[in-house]
Amino acid sequence: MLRIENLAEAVDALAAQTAHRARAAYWDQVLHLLQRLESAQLAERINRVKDRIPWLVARPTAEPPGARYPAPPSPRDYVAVATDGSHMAPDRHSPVRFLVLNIGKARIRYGAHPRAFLSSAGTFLYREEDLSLRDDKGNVYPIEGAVLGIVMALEELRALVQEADEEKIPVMALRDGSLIFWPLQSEETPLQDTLLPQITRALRQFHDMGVPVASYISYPGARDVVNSVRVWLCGSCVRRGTCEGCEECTAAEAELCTWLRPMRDRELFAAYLNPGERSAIFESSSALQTRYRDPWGMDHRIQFFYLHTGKEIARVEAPIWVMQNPRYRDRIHGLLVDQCRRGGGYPPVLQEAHEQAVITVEDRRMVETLVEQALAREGIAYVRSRKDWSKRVRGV
Amino acid sequence: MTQPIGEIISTTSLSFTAQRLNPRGTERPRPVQPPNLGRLVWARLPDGGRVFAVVAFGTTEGLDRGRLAVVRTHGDVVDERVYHEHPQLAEVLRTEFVAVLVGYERETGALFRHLPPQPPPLHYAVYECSDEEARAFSEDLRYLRLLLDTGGPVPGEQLVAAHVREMYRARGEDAAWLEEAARHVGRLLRRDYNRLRAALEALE
Repeated sequence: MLRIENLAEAVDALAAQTAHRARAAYWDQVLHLLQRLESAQLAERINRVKDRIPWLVARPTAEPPGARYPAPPSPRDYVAVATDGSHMAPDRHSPVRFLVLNIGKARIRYGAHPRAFLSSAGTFLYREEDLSLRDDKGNVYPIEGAVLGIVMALEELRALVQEADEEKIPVMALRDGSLIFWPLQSEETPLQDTLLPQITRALRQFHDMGVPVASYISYPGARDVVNSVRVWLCGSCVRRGTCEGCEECTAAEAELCTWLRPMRDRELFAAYLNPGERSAIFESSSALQTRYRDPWGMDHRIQFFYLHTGKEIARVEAPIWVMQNPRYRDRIHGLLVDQCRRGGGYPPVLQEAHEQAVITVEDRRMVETLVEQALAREGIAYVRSRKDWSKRVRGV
Repeated sequence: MTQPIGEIISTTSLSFTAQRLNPRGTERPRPVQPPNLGRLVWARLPDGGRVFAVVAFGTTEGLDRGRLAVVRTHGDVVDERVYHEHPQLAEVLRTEFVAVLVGYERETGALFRHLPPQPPPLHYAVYECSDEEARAFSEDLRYLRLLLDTGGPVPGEQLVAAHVREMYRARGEDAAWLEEAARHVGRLLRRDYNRLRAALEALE
């Protein structure tokens, strides 16, 4: 039971901290700085310190880091496709191990012949070989935790390829979340070697079909661009993790850098972009990125921009061949603004894919009952752990 | 062949609830509406007969009852254009209607205007009656009594009036029939002046 009265003081402190972060004078300085930044100089500065800073920075591309771009007109007739997934992970408290994956798919045609296709595809996995992944070296990884996340993402991406392949007129393929498969970063190299080619192969299919693919992150928590601004302010402070006592920067710079430290990119661009505008394109400095090359040698490095959707700042990620192709880039930008306008600040196609993917509490219970009944027919009693029983019964 | 307008998703000895089927192949997305209040509909029975029922209530809401409708009107995007701008609506909304059982037909063609011996089965299709069928069924109006106290949200006298209006239209505005129907309603409600007045006003 949560005792609310013990939290009040900390809640007040949170409000005070939030007020400090909203200080307009600091924002003016940061935005002024951002506008004067030049790509080449910033890239050079980042390169100088990159090995010594432990966190991600946004690398500038050809576009000036402080640039803003208004939404290009979006085509009247277009198709948005999206997929999303959810799962029932193998349950430690259950006597049998199984995994349910559900991929939700949404394909919506807009314009002269509007029509929506919503569906979902569920899979029930139970064989030992289906519940684990095998890398090229023969190591076996159970599909759970981070590996489950990657498997889901890969399934979503493959389903997205299929959905996009159904359509002819301008298509935009969207995934919820990131295209940089973060959980993979902390996995062992042989597993990365096995999964990365599968990811890049899917990305390559979008390229060959002529479909720009992107991912959409609502209310993003990333700090890449803020970090880049801090590196620009003073690489030395950043490296040492504190601005106190820094000899390389002025007191004002140190103060600004300290203030920037807890900030997120979305706060920075909320103060900077107008509705419909996108930021410049940046590139993630994730180490995983260097390996986003498909088996045929094509580069699928992920780049990103921030977008003012009219309601919030979203982060949009796409492979380099989308971002550096003006036609694709503008299509993604224009269509996302159109989607957000229709969806009250969030793309309806993503919302519907999510709705299709959801496995409700009742669904979960139903699957359990099915398993229970099937086992009973074989004369096997379905006995769950006592801990699980105590949570369900909650006896007093 | 006539197309079904709905499928039975809940059924009892007194009434059934059907979900309206999306009309397919329409060029322009538009809201899916329940059939008219008071409309005569029918569904098959497993033994080859048919039940007849009168539409007594209609609703439209999210397919997933946990999803509330949000306002989508902006600028000149109003009414039907909202459906045009949001093609997914056709897939995520559900329109349902309740129909009150008023009679049945044996396989032989014999027509009865009282409660059928069995409710129509779940998942069976619902059809609108043709004008011809409506004419045949409304030749004898004693079944109107079944519409007076359905326990549904629509007041019985309003439902009776709506049904009589529907049949009057189906019968090609047969004035003599309407007069007879009004007299019948008068007899049904002769002990309740307020309801009678409401019914007759709704018939005018």
